[in-house]
Amino acid sequence: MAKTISIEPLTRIEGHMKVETHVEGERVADAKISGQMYRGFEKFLEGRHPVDAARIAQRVCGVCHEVHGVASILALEELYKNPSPKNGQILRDLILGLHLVTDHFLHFYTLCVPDFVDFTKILEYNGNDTNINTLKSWVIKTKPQFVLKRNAGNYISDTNTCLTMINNYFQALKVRSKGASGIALLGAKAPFTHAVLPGGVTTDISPDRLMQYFNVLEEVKNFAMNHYIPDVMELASRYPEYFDIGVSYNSFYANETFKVLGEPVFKGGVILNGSEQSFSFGNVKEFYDNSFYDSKGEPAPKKSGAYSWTKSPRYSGEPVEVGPLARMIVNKDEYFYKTMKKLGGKVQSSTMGRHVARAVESRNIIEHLYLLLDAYKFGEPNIKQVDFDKKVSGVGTGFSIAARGALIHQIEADKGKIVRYNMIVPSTWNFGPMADGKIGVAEKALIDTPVKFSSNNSIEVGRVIRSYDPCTACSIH
Amino acid sequence: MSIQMNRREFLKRCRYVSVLVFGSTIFTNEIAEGFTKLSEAERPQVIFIQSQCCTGCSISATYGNESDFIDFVTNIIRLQVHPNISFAQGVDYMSLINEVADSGPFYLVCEGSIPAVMKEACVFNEEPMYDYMHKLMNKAAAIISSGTCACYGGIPASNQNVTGAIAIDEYMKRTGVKKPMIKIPGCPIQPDRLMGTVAYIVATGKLPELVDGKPKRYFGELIHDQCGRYQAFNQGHYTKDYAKDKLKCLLKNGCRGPVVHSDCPTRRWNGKVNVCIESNTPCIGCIHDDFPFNSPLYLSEASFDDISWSEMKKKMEK
Repeated sequence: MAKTISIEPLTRIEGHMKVETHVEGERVADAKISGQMYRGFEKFLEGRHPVDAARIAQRVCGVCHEVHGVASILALEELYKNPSPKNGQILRDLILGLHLVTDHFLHFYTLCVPDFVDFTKILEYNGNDTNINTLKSWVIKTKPQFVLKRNAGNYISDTNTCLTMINNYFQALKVRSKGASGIALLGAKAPFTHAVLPGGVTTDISPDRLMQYFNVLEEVKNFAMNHYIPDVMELASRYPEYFDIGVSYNSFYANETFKVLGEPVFKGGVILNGSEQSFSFGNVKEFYDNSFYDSKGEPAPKKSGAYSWTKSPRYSGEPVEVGPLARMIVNKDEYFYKTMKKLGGKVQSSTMGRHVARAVESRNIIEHLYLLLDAYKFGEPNIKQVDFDKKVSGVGTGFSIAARGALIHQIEADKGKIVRYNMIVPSTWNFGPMADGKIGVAEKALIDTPVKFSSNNSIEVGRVIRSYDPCTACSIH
Repeated sequence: MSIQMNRREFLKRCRYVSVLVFGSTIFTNEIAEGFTKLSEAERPQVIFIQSQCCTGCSISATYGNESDFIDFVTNIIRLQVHPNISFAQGVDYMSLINEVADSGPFYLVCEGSIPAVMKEACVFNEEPMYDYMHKLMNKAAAIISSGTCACYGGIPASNQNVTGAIAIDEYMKRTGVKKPMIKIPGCPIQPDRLMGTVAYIVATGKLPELVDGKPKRYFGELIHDQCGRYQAFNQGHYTKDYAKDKLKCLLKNGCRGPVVHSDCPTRRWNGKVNVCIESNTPCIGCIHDDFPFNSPLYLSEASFDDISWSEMKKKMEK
């Protein structure tokens, strides 16, 4: 029997999202995803000093808190024709990389694990681990509703696996906190580093500071290699069906990133309906067909037929998927292909493929961070500051990445004031609504998702959506 | 407290809360008395709600500083609802909010500004947040405005304020909500200030001493007066070039230290490892009422030629 299931609000993501699915015969036949919160960041920047963008555009999102700062600064450096010295670029990539990896921990444990693991298994624990016993007594005594009230579904019920993942759920918070201190060592504080300016990084870097960063990196690496990656593999082996659920268009786009040492860690490019091509910004166009904007891009909250605040970017008219999976496929990452083969998953757009790609790229990024540390040269400048009084005119574009995918910031200035600012954000690519007759990337991924466990909710839909790591505040801005 | 906790550990925790809030142990007894009256099951409930926000304040809370988020959630409050953490979604999440709100007193932590003109700019469960939030507020025991957007409107209310974003206190005025409210500004909040304040309220049932609606302990003194580079300021050593000058005063680069009341220089960030000015970057005033200001956040040293100290200060306040 056909029915409509509306999930609003979709929790454990960044921001306000509604997912409406039309279900026929226990499968999703049609889906609409609505971004529900708009602020107007691009407007706030108009008329301001260009360098202000570094601090304001950075604050578009507090989850992917360093990526917008970096993209904005790349745009500003082009605008001012003032690239950062090598040391500054290294420090920036050390901040960005550490952020990306710890953001993946957040995504997997805090946002996704509760969809798969039965946390009530902690009540069956009879061992002597004091950490687990403290948590057990906490659950018994205070009945925390944010944990106990959950969606109906097929959870892992094997007690040992559950306890491992529950323990890591809490451990991940501690490691992320450590990771944030690594970011703050170089960038002043986290979220939102203030030491990153166009032209480089202001912090005076002592060997001692880099040593502290190194210690943080060691902890992050240990957690990734010993806990995060094995947990993702465990999950993949228990839910192999998710290698075929959440399949979208199989067109991908990634930006070239981490290139200060020469060969980039992530190559850029586009795969469009199976054919590889290099990326050209001229082929990107944002559509507003079903978004709350008029033909000029001005907000139009009462526009009839529109159902989302998210715009719909298209590459040569096609919806393309971005994210770690896109990066792995565009790069033909050997280790990723090997891992997928071992797990028996097809290399394609899929819910579990996205999780596995995240785990694999964490490993790649961590390796690169060690190389960056070695490449830093004491005594050489970290920054070549821009002339703040210069009445700069022109356009600058920054191509970078967020944990969720490829990121573009573009700034246009006239006589020292911003006249236009444009962000094209990963979750905009993935969560834009139907446009030009084609449904959005995540909407497409929902089609054929089985819906079995509830008449008015769906854990499966939640799993598919979360595998994209949506960031609604960013995507709409 | 937790069943394994003995008296010594218990008092240690109370001292910890006292230090967190007041920077000293003088309120340990008051806090201990508060906690002993409450069994675990009676610990006040906390609901988080987000409107026009970026989640940065919640993320910052999870990072902690002197405070620890897991400890906060498992030993100090009863966290019941949080949009980024709650396991339930959709209808189950909505019924969770309703059950908690009707089950007994709770504190409501609000993140983000609220669009008052373009109400469709924040929709929650088929309803503009503007029309929903006051219903929940009216059931709360007290409200905590977390972050600069919630306290003053912040970035969403800046420049041409496209959506007509307003702060929580203004929203309460317009919708007639009369509840005790406390402001913890910051973009994002410094974790100790949020968790410390909530811990104090939970333990004592009282609001801490306030100045302009903010806890005095955190927001009582100017950054400038506590600045590690005050000596450089006294001697007139100003930063000209970020690449060469590493220990000089940043005032002429746009530093908002002289107009911002905050204990950042001593409290520091992320396990106390760093703070903006130590990183040789000016304070941009992210906890100021007028953040992100109308004037440029960064200035060149040259633009300060020949102006007096009071003119300089005025320039920063715009």
